[in-house]
Amino acid sequence: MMEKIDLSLEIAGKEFKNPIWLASGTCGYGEELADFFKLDQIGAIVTKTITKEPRPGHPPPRVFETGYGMLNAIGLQNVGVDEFIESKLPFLEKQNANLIVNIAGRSVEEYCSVCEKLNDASQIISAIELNMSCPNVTDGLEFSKNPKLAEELIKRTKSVATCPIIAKLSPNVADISEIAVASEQAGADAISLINTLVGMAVDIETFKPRLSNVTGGLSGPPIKPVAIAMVYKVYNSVSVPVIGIGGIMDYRDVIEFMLCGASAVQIGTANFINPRISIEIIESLKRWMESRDYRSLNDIVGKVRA
Amino acid sequence: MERRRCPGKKAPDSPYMPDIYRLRIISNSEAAGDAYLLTLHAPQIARSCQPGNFVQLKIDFPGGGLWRRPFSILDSDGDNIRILYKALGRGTSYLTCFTPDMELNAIGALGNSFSEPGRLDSIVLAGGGIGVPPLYFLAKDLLDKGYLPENIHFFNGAADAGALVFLDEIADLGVSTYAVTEDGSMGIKGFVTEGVMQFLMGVKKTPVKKDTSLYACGPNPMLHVVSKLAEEYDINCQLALESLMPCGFGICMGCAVKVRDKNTTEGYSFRRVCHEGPIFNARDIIWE
Ligand SMILES: Cc1cc2nc3c(=O)[nH]c(=O)nc-3n(C[C@H](O)[C@H](O)[C@H](O)COP(=O)(O)O)c2cc1C
Ligand code: FES
Repeated sequence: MMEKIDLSLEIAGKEFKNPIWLASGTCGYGEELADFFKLDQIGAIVTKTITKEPRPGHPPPRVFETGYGMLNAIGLQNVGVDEFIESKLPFLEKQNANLIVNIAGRSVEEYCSVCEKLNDASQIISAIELNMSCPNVTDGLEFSKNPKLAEELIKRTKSVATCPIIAKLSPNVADISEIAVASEQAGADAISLINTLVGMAVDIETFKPRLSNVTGGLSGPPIKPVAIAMVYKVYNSVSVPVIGIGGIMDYRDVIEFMLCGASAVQIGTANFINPRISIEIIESLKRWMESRDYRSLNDIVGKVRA
Repeated sequence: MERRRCPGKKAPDSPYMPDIYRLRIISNSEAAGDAYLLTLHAPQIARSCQPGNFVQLKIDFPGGGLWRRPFSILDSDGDNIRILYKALGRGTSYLTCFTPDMELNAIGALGNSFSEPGRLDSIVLAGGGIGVPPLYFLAKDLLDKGYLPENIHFFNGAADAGALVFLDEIADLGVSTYAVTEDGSMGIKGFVTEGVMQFLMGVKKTPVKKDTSLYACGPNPMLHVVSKLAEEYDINCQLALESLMPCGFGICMGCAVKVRDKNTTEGYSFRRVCHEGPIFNARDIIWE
């Protein structure tokens, strides 16, 4: 008999049953995906970015398909932290899934005030992920571009929040490992990457940009090699866990990320095409490990022979 | 008037949830007006779908295509659903090559449905271009529920006579059917809204007072004009909206439409065409 395969991992003292998580902005607050599978089967759900006040988001058009990828500029449409706690958290609590709440703000103070409010619910929140990297709003990106700002943001939120802090980084920077190192030194419990890459598309009939916001964030399979290279770079510069995001469509992509240093991954755009993709990936990852006689994620993570 | 319940809500006790299916193609053939008629074996969807619902089909065409494509359900019959589409983009062009017994991966049924008109209303259905399917389904459904065919008026608009989809089939339902063509090659000349306007003017002149319910589906400029007409004549009007849809089941927020919303400081909010829609009350939409 084979020993049971262990997909679990621990980040800052929090246990996750497997490394397959759902990426922020691609699973809402879990309500719709719960029609397709039981959320407690996945490693964690990272909810859509919430901010101190509700935000209406950008006007349409917000999305455009670019070959086998897509551009989006949703503009952080969200219900605001108060409404999130009031009407979204109770549902998420009932799902019994590890919950990671992704947050953003226009200033360090705004991030901190969201963290403070979430403290009341910290027993059901596994971690807070700081969106320092949204390319579609003026406030998001600065924190991911400037190591000093990143450091300040993480220090301050760490001092307020009672649960672990994950720093989600932008690929739209000169040197991502510089920001990763600054984040780690400031106390980040993990680093997740990448958010979307800035992109643009134009309608040649009307000469108008395809998105109301003019530019948007590119996601899906085209960004995977960029994401993997950045995960590899960051993994080699920090010692906190690295969470890989970008273009994952199947279990092979997951293994690639893990070989390059990702302790866990987040599935984003793929959820749109197959709402059960994360569950299928968990199953096929297990089968692949079984076929190779691997028992735990330690057999894979960071094992690329470069 | 209770019947003006907001479209956008599924029956709360509905046991049905959308799911992912592999659907066998029964037939996929050309239909009038440069359209194609696709019949799929889809028992679960067929038994529960409502007019206005749609399915998200995965069409893996060579060289691209990340998203599924939304298709409004034309009708259901026993274990089958039918879809009427035009080969306009690369995805739909490739779909025309699918033959019987091949399978299509689908998610459905998705979206909300129309609210029903008053029993004695004049019911005006206005479909522009490929906007016919949800209205055809609605007409059939209303007839099934005992609405009188003489109260249903179906305006079908296209650029020219050759592009009119499903005209004979609509007429076969027994409802009053009006062709409207931009070049005047058949029926009323002008946009489909021209036909609707003439009808509403006629109703206004008749001495017998009768409520009118208007339903429309088509390109946004057409729906904008329909909304203005509904406001001018003060009639109940529901629109079946179209949008790009990365997911189709409410998780991406990509298919936003701007609606009036008293509960926000801005006075508006964005709703998901795929989830709160695709059917909206015309008076809720903010056109820009
Ligand atoms: C429609 C859409 C909305 C997104 N919204 C957010 C968001 O609110 N917060 C965030 O941190 N990332 C957001 N992202 C980025 C994803 O979480 C992820 O980092 C990115 O899409 C790359 O992964 P993927 O290629 O698997 O989609 C969004 C992505 C998409 C496609
Ligand atoms: S298409 Fe994704 S929310 Fe509507």
